[in-house]
Amino acid sequence: MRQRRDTLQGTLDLLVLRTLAGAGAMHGTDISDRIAETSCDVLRVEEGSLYPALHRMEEAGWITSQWKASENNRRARYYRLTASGRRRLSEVEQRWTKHVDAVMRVLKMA
Amino acid sequence: MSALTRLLNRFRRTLLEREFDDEIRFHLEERTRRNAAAGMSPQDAAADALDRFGSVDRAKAGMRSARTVAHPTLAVSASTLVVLSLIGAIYWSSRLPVYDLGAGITAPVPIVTPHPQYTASAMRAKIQGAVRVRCVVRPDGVCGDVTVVRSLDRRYGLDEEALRASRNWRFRPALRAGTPVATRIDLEMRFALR
Repeated sequence: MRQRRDTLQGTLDLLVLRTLAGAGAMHGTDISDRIAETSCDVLRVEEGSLYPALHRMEEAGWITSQWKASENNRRARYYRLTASGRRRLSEVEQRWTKHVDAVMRVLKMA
Repeated sequence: MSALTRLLNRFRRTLLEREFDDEIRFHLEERTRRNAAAGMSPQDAAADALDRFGSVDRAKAGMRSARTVAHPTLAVSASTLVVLSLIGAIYWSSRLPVYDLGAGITAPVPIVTPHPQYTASAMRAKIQGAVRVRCVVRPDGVCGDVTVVRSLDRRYGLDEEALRASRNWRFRPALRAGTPVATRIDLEMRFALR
C-alpha cells in the first residue's frame, strides 16, 4: 500500500515537473489542462491533489511560485521549475523508465 | 516559544490560509470559465469545476501539511461562529438580490464540505448516485434555501440527507465588484457504496 502511494505520488511529481520543464511559468489550471492535453485526455489529475503536490514540491525546492496577473487579468499563482527541479526531473524520469521497462519485460515473458 | 514567535507564527498561518483560499478560488473560477467557454451552461460549468476538484477540505489539509510550519488554527471559536451566523441569518433573510453565476460575479468557494451520510435502508436497497441540490450561498457564506433539483431517492431518505449535508456547507461568498453577494449554485451530493 505504502509502495503504491509512493508510486502514484511519484507519477504526479513526474508529470508536473515534466510539464513545467517544457514551458515557462504556469498556474495549476494550466498544468492540469496541459497534462490532459498532451496525454490525449488519458491522464486526468484529480485537481484537488495537484495543489498539495505543488506546495510540497515548492517546499522541496524543485519549483518556485509567484503571484501574477493571469491572461485574463486575475491574480494567480504561477509555478516554474528550478535548477534543482530539473535535476530531480531527470532522476525521476530515469527511475520511471526503469520501472516501466521492468513491467514490460514481465508482460512479454508471461 | 515566546509570545512574539507565537504571534508571528499565527500571522504566517493566516497568510498561508488566505493564499490557499485564493489559489483554490482562482482555480475553480478559471475551470468554470474554461468549461463555459467550451459550451457548458454556467450551472454545469461551476458544478463540473467542483466535481473535478474533489474535496476542498482535503486539498487544503494537503497544502497545509506541505508547508511545514503551518498548522490549522481556529481563529474564531465555535460559539462566536454560531452567534455570527445567527446575526447573518436574521440580517440577510430580510431580502437580498440573489445572483446567478456569470459575468461580473466571482464564484463562491467551498471551505467546509461535509459529506452526506447514507441511511441504513438506502444502503440495504443499494442505492447509489448523486442528488443535485440548488442552494443560495449567502454573503455570510452560509448555504441557505436548499432544494433538490435532481432527486436520487425520496423513499429511503437520501434526498433529505443531501439537503442536510448541504445546509452545513460553508463558502467564501461570491463577490460582485468586490462586495459579497448571494448567489445561486448547484451542488452534486454523491452517494457511492464501496
